[in-house]
Amino acid sequence: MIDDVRPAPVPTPESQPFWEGCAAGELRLCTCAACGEHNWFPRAICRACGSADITWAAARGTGAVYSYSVVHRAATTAFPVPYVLALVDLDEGVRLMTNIVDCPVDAVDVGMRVGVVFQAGQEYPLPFFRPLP
Amino acid sequence: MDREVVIVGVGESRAVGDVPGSTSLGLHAEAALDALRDAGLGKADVDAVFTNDSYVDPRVRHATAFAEYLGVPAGARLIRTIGMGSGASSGLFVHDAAAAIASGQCDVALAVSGDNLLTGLSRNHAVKALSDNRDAEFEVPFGPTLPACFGLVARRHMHEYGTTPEQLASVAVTMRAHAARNPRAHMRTPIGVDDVLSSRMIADPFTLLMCSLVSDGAAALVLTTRQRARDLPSVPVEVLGTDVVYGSEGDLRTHDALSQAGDLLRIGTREAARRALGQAGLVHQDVDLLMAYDCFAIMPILFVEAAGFCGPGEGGAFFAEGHGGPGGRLPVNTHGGMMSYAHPGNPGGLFMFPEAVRQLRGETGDRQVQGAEVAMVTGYGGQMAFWPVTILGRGR
Repeated sequence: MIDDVRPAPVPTPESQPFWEGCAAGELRLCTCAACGEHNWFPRAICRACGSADITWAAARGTGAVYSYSVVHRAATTAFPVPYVLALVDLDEGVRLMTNIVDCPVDAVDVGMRVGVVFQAGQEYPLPFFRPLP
Repeated sequence: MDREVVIVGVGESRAVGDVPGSTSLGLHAEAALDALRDAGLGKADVDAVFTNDSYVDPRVRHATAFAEYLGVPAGARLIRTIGMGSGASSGLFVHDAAAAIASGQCDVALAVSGDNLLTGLSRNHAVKALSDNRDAEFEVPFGPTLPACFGLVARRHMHEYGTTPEQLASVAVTMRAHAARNPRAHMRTPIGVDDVLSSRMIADPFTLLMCSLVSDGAAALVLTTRQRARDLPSVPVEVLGTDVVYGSEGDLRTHDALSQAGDLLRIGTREAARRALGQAGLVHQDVDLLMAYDCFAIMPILFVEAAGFCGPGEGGAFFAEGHGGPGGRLPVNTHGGMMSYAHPGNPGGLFMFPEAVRQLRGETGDRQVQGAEVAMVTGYGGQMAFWPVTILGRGR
């Protein structure tokens, strides 16, 4: 029996602040206080300078589509098709995988400006992105 | 000089494609024994075994589980599971086996991969299995199916270079044209660009026929020293160059997750090909055929560009103009690739090697590349993450 529920993220000690941010409606990034590097995925040791002085701060929540693919065949019924898989480059220079929502699937384009919108009804809401006007 | 590495045996399961009743380890064993027969060797001669696990029948220590199944004699010196996936494992098998043989760690290495992906898993389970190796927290929840992940790569190439769906389709047409000449291929009926474009849309821009197959099957290689090869019957094919690069052009750091890749298009194959050709003392013009990992239609395009057989962004035109097809200036995947010959998951990339070896031996009949003396094999590692390149040459 193939799953019919979208997989939910399971926070780790390193990522807990991110998911708490999502629950509060805020996109947060894990940033090194020593060198300023935004580390993504969240980690305890800065990938640029090796410092353990990691902090969390709110991101603007805006960015641009780096690439996308409109999915017409899903592996499970948890993902009603068609849906848009995308890579979004945040203005802070971090790249997230996400879904583009709140627009027709054929309206998505590379370079499109997008803003975060959080999944409804989940303990740890996923960050989706929608086109900015 | 005498410990230079040659491929003396290649083998496959009795059939590839739809093989009811097959099992993963059974397919492994068929291919292994086929390759040993081809080499003129037996199990007693093998002292190193490489495998790369199974989707249908995964094992904690896959290589030793297979060695047990096959009956590898005690006293073996190197049994290693390279769990690095279909795209890179074959190149890494050869890379690591060559290093082990050259350094004297072993004398005869057997590299095998096989799976009954078609008959062993339901279609949905196969699709799901191939999609599950993404970051559980930051990728899997967004539905990154395998075709969609490569769709991201293709869309970026279309954006940056104007590559068209018709050009992507021509890659599929090319693979099928080669498979049409291969009696063992899973799919052989010739197709045209219109057939490819009108097949079912899976994940934009990929239609069904732009995707690789789901098949049963196994392949195997036997490698040894040049000195040992002198006593064996097959035409030896030398490993002239082998290299692996982690990261693509301009990347600051290596990555594991697809979403954390830097440049999706200007892949590390460029540097690996440069170094492998350098080891071989050869240049691009010396390469007679290319085996390029073709999980989806965009990849052969990236490989011909990065490996330097055409300019950046010209890969679509390369295939659309027929340069990779039978009789073309650089035939690509003369067996039909994973898009038309077979793709059993983990073994998919390994089929590139038996075909390359047989081409260099002059054994491929209707699909023989005339005068083939040098083959390049370009592999794909992880999530657009690492790039093996192997140069094979007809024994001199």
